[in-house]
Amino acid sequence: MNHKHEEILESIWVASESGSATMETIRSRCPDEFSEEGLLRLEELGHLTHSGRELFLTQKGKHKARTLVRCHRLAESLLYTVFALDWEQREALACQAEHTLVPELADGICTLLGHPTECPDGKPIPPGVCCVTQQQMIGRQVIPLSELEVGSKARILFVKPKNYDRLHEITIVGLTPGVVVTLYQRSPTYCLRFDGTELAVDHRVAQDLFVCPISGDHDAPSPPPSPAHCRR
Amino acid sequence: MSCASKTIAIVGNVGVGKTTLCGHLCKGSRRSRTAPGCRTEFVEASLDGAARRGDSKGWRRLSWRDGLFRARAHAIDAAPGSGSGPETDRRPASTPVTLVDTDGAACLLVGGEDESTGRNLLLAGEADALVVVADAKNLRRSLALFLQTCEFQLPTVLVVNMIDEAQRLGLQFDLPRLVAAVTVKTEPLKAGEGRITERMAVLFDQAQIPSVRVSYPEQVEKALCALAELLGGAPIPPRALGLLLLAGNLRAQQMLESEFDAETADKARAVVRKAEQAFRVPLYTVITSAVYATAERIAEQVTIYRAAPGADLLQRFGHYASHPLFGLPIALLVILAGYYWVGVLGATIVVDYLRVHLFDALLLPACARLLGNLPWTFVREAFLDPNFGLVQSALFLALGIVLPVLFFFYTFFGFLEDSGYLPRLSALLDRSLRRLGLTGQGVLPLVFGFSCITTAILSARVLRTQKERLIASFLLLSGFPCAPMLAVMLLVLEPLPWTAAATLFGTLFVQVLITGILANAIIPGGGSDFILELSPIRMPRLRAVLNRARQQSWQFLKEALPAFMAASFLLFVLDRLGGLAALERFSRPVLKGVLGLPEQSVQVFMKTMIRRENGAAELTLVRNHFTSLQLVVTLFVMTVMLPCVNSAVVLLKEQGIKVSVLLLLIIGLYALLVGAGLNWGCHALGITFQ
Repeated sequence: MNHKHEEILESIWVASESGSATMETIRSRCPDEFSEEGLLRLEELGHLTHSGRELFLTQKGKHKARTLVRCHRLAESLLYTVFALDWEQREALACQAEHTLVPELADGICTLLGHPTECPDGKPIPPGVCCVTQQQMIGRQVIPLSELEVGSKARILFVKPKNYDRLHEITIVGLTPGVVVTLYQRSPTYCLRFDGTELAVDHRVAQDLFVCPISGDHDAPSPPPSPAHCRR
Repeated sequence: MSCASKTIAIVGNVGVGKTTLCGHLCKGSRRSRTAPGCRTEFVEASLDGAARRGDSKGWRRLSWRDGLFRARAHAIDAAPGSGSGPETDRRPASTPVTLVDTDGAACLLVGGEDESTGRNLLLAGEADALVVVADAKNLRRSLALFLQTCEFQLPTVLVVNMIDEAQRLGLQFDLPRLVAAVTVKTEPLKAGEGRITERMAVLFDQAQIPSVRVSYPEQVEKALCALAELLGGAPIPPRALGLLLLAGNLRAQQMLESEFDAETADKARAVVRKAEQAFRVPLYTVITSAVYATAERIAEQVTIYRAAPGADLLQRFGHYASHPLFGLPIALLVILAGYYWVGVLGATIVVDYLRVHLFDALLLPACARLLGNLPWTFVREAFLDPNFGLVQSALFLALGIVLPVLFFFYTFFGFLEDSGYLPRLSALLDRSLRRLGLTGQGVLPLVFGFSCITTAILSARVLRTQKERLIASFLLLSGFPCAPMLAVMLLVLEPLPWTAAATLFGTLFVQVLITGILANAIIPGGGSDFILELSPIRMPRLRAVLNRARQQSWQFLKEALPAFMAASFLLFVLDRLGGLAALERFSRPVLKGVLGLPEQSVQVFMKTMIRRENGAAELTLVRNHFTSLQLVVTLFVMTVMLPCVNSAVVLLKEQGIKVSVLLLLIIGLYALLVGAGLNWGCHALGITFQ
């Protein structure tokens, strides 16, 4: 199976998300042109069946398509939250990544990002094994600042605000990804220290700041390395 | 400001020390001071003030200003009327310079609905040079603001303030590297440093147009190039205008419509739309992110991290001040300290001393002797009448009672303001204030309410939603005695048992809680986010605090003394014409029937309307006609019902005529109702405060 076949499977998955998997909708969603031969090959491999104009994924096909879509949307989330790329760049890179990402690496990205349920465009990310077993990996995952323990340090990985005004407010006080914060009080407001600044934020803001706890006694605020360093 | 004068704007984030720097730069010259974050009008300070008075020290300090504009070729003439002292002759010809202390801005490009003086000044093209004040403790944020000002292509100096506080936190800076990165002259300053050194003079001499640029994403850069071509001839650099348009700034959009023809405006809007479509997130977040990324890069390059020493005593105090357990006792201690300083030392000991030793012994008899020989009875009485005479009820009240107490109050308030305690109080009270429809940010206007209601209503602008601003204005008008009023209230209450003060302030407090909760339920809209920087706790400089208290007291005297005199004279004339008696008859059913007050309360309320503390001070003169309970009820109704003329005008300006009139009517009726309730309640319970 080549990349073209994978694109077809992915298009069928995306089309069925919107409730209609007819040939036309699938063609409109597939970035590459595809022929009858491609469909026949997939049918031979046991990935799909058809009934009239509609195409259906088999269990095997579903599994493959789900993995592809998961990798694509996770790659998009990573490129959006960590590298702040715009839509076109994200799409182009994610299209390449989905074919090469191994499931273990996808799970790693998923954990790093706090097991996101939606990609930046609001489409659902199919959950992986790591999402199911996330309780066991509690020490490694990304948590909202509101769940950080008093006295611990954490690096801000991304901000997932409920509205853009909040994102703007958070940015202009200097809480940008990469910054290491120390939470020294949780009630009545969350008080945190970073660089030379102390800030008080309310619960709603603390819930939107996603951080990766870091251990050790780094008294001096270290320059922010890339977020990947957070993974232990 | 004459057309030849030059304007230097001081810009920076909130709380980086702009006002302090401005104060030091134009020491001795006239300037007004308002609450942080609410400087509605430019605070202008002409540097000529010092030279005009022949203050040679001041002149030396300010002599850099000629050099600042040397690079900008223009005719330099001696400012008209700018010299009578001996120094003037030796002075080189100069351009008068006006320093503009702008309000703290978080972001210059984005926004536009709020009145950011810095942004408006830059947009109007009125600034000739900039002093950007940075906070060394948060260099990234300060540099982000600096990078935004760079787009305006003005000669700039970067002042890195609070370098000592940053060092205490383990941060050091590679200053030569910083200068190379920001491409303008940079001066480190310690927090509150008063010394404007020779280095500063040299520095201003070399103010340069910065060449550092933020690298925006490709689509934004393309749009900026297209806009810069379209918008040539704008009063500000076209690229800056383009950036403001992309960020969705409202004033920039207005400028586009007013300065350019319809075709150009349409083309520019099309460029903006196209750029917007290239991103999934609003452009202003794209622009802010790019600015912060560049600022972060520079900050990282120039910051040297050292191990921070352990928290010192002040820092620990700061943590306890917003602690859920210790915060409240600390707040109570602060209030108690304020009461002893203002209420006991100021309002009792000092005022009594002044009254006995200065006014009763010397000044009042001297005035009586001096004016007693005036030939016309009417004029003589206008001065010497014990109830409405100018000497007794205006001069003595203002100078002998209100002024000393006010000075004590302003010193206490200045101490609190400079200590950095107030943001901690905000953090502590955020949750409680949410029940009243406010956030922790509401602490600032409410605490200012104890200083001056007018300033407090203005400072309510820092609140983010209209609902919060409305509730804050309502609470301020209906439950907060301002400093002069509070001072006189303490004086009136002083001979009464403590239960009187407890009842009065308790009732005020409870009704503020109830009205806040009700207003929160009635007025539609949700609460906003609470994000507040907790500036470090520092020991305030006594001299600065005393100086400011002196300035504020002087400002009060200038404003209030004429009002006191006018009010006294008006009441005197009204009394002689029989108008006061008619008013007393007219309002008797309400005053006596509902509130249970004597006739003299009419003159008290009349004076209250002109200035609140004037009425309260009048109460000290006529208190013999009142029972203790009546005093408490009068003070309550005065505090709740009547705003002074100033605050009514400001309310009108801030909230519009419909909302203001409605607000004042509701408050008036409400005050009568609660006042009557207080009167009857105390009567029913047999409480007389005797």
